[in-house]
Amino acid sequence: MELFRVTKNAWGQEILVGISWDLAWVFLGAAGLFVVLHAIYKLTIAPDSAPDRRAKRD
Amino acid sequence: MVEDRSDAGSPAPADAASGDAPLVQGERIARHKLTDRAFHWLNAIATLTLVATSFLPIAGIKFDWIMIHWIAGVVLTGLVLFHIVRALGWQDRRAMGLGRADLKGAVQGLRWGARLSRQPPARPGKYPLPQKLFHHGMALVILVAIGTGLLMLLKIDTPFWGRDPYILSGYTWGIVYVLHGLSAMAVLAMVVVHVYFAVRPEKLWITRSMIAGWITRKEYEDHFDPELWRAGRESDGS
Repeated sequence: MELFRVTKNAWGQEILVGISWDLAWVFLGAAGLFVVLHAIYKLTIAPDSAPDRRAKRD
Repeated sequence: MVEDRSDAGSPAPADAASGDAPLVQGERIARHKLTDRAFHWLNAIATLTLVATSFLPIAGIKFDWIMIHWIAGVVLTGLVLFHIVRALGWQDRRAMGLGRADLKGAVQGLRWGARLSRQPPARPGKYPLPQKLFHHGMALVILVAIGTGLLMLLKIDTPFWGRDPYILSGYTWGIVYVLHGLSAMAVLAMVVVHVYFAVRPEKLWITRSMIAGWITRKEYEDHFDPELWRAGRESDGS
C-alpha cells in the first residue's frame, strides 16, 4: 500500500500530491476496531461502573 | 444563566460564590449553555459536511463537492474562531486544563478498569480526562485541517479572490495536501469513536446534556466531584 500520492511534472520529476486515499480505510478500520474492542471489554471484563459504586472512593 | 466557570481538577477548586458554578434549576443542573450547544451542533454539521464531501467522492460517489466543501470549511473556521474567543474570554480555561488530579485519576481508572484495584477512580470535575483528551486531540487535527484548508482555498476561485496556485512551491503544496489529508482521516476516525460513545447506553445522559443542556442532580452527584465542579448557585450570569 502506498503512503503518498505522487505525480510527475513536465520535467519528469516526482511531485507529492497528497496522502494515499487508501489510508482512509486504515483510519476507519482502526476506529472500528477500537469500537469493537471497547464494546467487548464493556460486555466482558469491565467493572460495574454504576454510579453508586463509583461514589465509594469519595 | 450562570457562566460555567468550572474547575476540572487542576489547581484550586472553583468557588461557587465567585460564579464558577453550574446553574441549578430545581433538580436539573445546567451543564452546557445554549451558546455552547449551538456551537457543538453547528460544528458537527460543518464537520460531517466536510467529511462527507471529502470521502464520498473517494468512495466512488461522484458529485460536485468542491464548493460545498470550501463553504463548509469557511463556516467551520468561523465557528472555531468563535469558540476560541469564547473559551479564552468567557469560559474557565482550567475546565479543560490537564493537571495532577487528571493523572492521578487516570492511574486509578486504569487500575480499576483492569481489575487491579477495587477502588473506583475519584470523580472528576466538569470534564473527565477522556473528554479532555478527545477535545484536545480533535482541536489539534481540526486546526491542522483548517490551516491547510485555508491555504488550499488560495488555489480555487472564490467570490473573494482569484486562484493563485504559485503562492507556494510544488513541494510545499505537497506537504499541505498530506497534512490536510492526514488530519481529515484523523477527524473521520475520531467522529466514529465520538458517535460510538455518544450512543452507548451508559453515556446517553451526557448526550442528552448536549441536546437539552442539563443533567439531573443525581447525575451530577454520581459522576462529578462537587468540590471540582460546584453546584449551588442560582442566578443569571450570562
